[in-house]
Amino acid sequence: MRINRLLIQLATFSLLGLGACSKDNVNGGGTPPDDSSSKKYVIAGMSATAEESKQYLFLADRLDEGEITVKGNGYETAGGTMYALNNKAVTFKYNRGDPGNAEVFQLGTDNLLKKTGAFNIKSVNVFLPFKAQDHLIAYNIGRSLTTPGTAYWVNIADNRVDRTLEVDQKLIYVDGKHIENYFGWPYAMFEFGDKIYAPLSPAYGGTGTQDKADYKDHAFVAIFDKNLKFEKTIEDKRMPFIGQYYNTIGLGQVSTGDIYAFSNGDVESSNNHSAFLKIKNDAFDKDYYWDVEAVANMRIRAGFFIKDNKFVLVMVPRDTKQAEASGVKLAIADVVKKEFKWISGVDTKITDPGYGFPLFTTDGKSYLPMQEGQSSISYLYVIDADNYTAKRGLKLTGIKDITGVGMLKK
Amino acid sequence: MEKTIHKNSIAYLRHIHFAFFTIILLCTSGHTLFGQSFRLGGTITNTTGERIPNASVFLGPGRQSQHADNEGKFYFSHLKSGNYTLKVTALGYKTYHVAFKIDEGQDQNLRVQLEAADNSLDEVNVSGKSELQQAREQAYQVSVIDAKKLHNTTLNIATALNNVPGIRVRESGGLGSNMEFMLNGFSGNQVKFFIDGIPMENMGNAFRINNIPINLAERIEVYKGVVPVELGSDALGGAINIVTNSGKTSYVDASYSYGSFNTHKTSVNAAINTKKGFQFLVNAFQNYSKNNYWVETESTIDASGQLEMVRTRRFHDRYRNEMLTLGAGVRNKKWADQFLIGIDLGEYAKDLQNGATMEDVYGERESKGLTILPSMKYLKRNLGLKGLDLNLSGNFNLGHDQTIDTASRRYNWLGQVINPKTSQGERDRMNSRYRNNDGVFTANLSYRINPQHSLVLNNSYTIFRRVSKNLLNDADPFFDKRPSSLQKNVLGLSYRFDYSKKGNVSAFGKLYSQHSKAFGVVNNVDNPSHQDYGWMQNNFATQGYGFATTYFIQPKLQIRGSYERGIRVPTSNEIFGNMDALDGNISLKPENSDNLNLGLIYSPSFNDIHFLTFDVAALYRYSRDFIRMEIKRNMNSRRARMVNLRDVNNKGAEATIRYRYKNTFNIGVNISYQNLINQTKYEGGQEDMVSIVYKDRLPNMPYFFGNLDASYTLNKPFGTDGSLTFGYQLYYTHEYYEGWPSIGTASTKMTIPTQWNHNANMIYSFKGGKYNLTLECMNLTDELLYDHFKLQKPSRSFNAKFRYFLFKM
Repeated sequence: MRINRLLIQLATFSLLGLGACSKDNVNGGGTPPDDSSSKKYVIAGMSATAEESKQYLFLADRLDEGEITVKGNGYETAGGTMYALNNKAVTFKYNRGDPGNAEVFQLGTDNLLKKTGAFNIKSVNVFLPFKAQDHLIAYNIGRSLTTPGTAYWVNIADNRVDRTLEVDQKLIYVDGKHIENYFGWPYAMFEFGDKIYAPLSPAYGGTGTQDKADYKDHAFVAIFDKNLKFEKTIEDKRMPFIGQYYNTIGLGQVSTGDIYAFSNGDVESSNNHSAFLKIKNDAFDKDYYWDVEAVANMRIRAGFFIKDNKFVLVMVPRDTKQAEASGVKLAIADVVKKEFKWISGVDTKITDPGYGFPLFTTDGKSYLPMQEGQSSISYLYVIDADNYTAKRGLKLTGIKDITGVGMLKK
Repeated sequence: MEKTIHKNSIAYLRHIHFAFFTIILLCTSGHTLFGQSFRLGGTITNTTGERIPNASVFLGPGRQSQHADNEGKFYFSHLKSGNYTLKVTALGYKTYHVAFKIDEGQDQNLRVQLEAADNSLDEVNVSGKSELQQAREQAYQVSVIDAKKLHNTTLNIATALNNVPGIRVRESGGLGSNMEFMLNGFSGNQVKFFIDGIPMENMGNAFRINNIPINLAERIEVYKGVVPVELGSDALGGAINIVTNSGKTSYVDASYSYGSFNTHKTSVNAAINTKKGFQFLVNAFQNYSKNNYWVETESTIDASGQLEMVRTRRFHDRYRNEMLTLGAGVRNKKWADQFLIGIDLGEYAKDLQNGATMEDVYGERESKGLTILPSMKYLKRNLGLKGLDLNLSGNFNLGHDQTIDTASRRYNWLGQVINPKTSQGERDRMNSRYRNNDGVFTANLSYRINPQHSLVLNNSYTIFRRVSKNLLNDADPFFDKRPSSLQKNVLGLSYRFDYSKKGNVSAFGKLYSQHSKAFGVVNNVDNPSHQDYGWMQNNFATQGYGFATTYFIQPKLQIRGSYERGIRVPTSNEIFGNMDALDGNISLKPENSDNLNLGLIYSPSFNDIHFLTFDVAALYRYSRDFIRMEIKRNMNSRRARMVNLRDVNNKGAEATIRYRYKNTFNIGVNISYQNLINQTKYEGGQEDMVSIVYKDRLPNMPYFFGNLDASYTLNKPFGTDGSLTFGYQLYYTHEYYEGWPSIGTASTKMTIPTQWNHNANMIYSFKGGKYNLTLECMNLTDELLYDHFKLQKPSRSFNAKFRYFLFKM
């Protein structure tokens, strides 16, 4: 294994070296390398069968057109959640009981996926890929009052975890007062300067009768330093909790440098509207509140910061039967201008996958995986936030539940 | 399709020599009711106590004659006192003569023991057939294992079944591990198990086919696709009936084996039949193993999850179970040919070493359970009418099963604690106990109107009540004491017409009905809270039917065909969910399948030296509404429910060739091919495109496999007594994918590689089979064996077994 690690390191160094070489070439005025031959997009998804489905990684040359299929194609992986950092695709399995390890893939010399590493982590469901691309935090959520969460720092260069930390999740504070019988269930982690923001959903962990209030109609963000040392929890009663388990972070940093947070409003409470709040100087801005649901007459199902001051929002009718019948609709929200516009160009019903919509942005273009009426076909929709349009891009036949899109270079 | 397993070719029973024919005059007390006339009854057996049916019995003087019945019984009445002679003939046996006297005031009961003729008993005769042969020559597509020939091995019922064409037993590890039984592409609940005709579904984990020693069985019948009504249950694609030595004779069979991985197995089976008709049965067995066999796997070496390839011994895989069956009753009374009350007491404890694959390793997770099963059997022949037999049985399980996962540590494959402080259990923190209170009651009425026509009416009634209790301190008591319950009834009627000595035809129909009730999620929500739970009910009735026919073109050439529309009704869990990860689906329908078999058996022999058997069969299955698990992912959870999802057809073939030279050399080979093809065209709703796996082969299912066995016996190797047998067995399974074959890049797919499993043994029997000594080597070449993806089976092991067998009339 040691030899393996050494080899991987050597490979990594040589790759870095190659990268440097090609840069030199470009700078030196030589023939520019054929970009498409050494660059591939990687997509994680499931085979679209009702049972015995498996997870696969697929390669594509383009995301804005073309088609890939699962028939005779796709690298079978144990894990379903994929993050691509520093030209490596790392897959994580969902649950403790699920078979398999976390696996690391790279583009091989034949331009195909090659498994270059594996490590074992159990039950991690929150991920934070650092902007520096050197590490990714994979977080195991503590699921009771007495259980701390565990953060694993995955070292991308070494294909291994180089640090772990237990995190006490008794982090629910209302009006600055700690709420004893509750713990915070982090739905996401978000890197902001030298801080890590984690939106929390409160969960009752006590014994005996549950408190009358469940606090889910409050917004909570736990603020940590870069090493996940807890600093404080900020709370706001104007909207429900932020984020959704898997893929909806609920936070975005706009071009002004401020953080905007939104709630899906997925609670049963009088205070349940999907809305935006602003976080400034590690505190909710009392002067900013935008009730998107009042404008859209739908609630947010998922959303991502896309560019400038804009978020792309996947909207859904609050009534579940209606939601099932009509599907979801796309919109662009400018949070600074408080401007909400429906996206045009999607003239078919988009099914709510019930899982998530990982937004992938590259070269100024953003892609959102979506399913239309046919549950065995997925599309990457190309989202144009400037013109409020979307169009079908890559067609993925026999593929469902796309959990990640990324880019790999040799 | 019949098959004998000649793991060792010592038909050791034939070596039990009795110097003389014996006749035991059992005194029957009391005076005759008929004044001056007396009765003479008798039972005909072979030297090992097996009943010989249909023997010819001649009583002199006067040459009264009759045929003994299927149970080997004959009966003369209105006899005067005086001297008599008796002659008994049966094909395959030496003729038997005896002279005796009937005294004043005494009825006589004879026991007649026939010695096999020099040529083999079970190869030549046509009319004097053993139960084994009768079982084999049914119209049903049946394979019969002569378990007695395996009694010197350390096999259990499941591993013995692995020798039958069409069957693969997939195990997840060593002794006591989980196993999945596959018969012609059917698995799980689709194939049902019986012991002496009684369904085994409620007998608990202490009493399962992969821990019952082969010595408990006399023979094992494998019904493929078509199941006779006598085995009353809802089987979609076949049934296995384990026939035990029901204690017609007195005997003791005791054995002990010791082997690699600290494996100890003991088995004691004994029966006592007193002259007054009392009967006592004891079956006891014990299995223990550390299962610390060698594995080669990736293992984490530190808390950070770094992996290294290691070769190590399993360290948390201990298994033990003990089982005691006691029975007491009477035989041959006026009111009952057999009445037996019994109790099965069993327990097991099992360490759980790993999860679904070896990447998930545990150091403390365990399960255990208890079986307490009182039972009753009643048999009355000629109930009011000659040929009308009634058979009743009932049992009720009071046991429970428990899974414990409360460890707060994480282990690696080296047995080291790599994370001393986790708190979710090793897999899912739990300490839950399921109390399964379930009973099975069967009634079988058979009426042989005359030699041509017979009827069988069978009813099997099952009750099931599961109470689960979470034993953790922080458990939610809301779900305690809310049992799910189920009542199932299967009623079957069959008619058999023996139109000539060469052939017969049977037709049957079955009625299934079920009523079930459970407490579960009634509102269809993702994260149900207490108010989303409620009581649910489900009732339905359905029917199945079929026929079977056979014809002997020549005495040694049999052709047979059978068909059944098989039904398997959904279980309570499948309908209502299990309050854990499985949701209910109240709209589940029964699975059904059209099963068709065509078989040909040819068993010629040459000069009574060379014996050959060719057994070929073709099968066709078209199964609809397979109940499979559908997984739906939501934002917050991953929910599963059972749905009627898959239609599957299977065109398969099986063939066996066996050759025997006298009683010394034996070789057999069989191959099985089953082409299970998915016929579900749309699985994503009607709007969806044609399924990407339409017409694809079913995943994770062996489809081409075969076995080879050979043995050589040396008679009297050390002079005057005994026999020494060398045996070899090979199990081959062709590689297959864990997932759908057409999906993904072939070279990256998870594959269960081709398996070659070699075994060898050596058996020394002496003192007429009274003492037996066996040495075995399993997995001779120390292959890495897998039945499932990344779940290694035992490495090479050695076993020694000592067996003592004493049979007494």
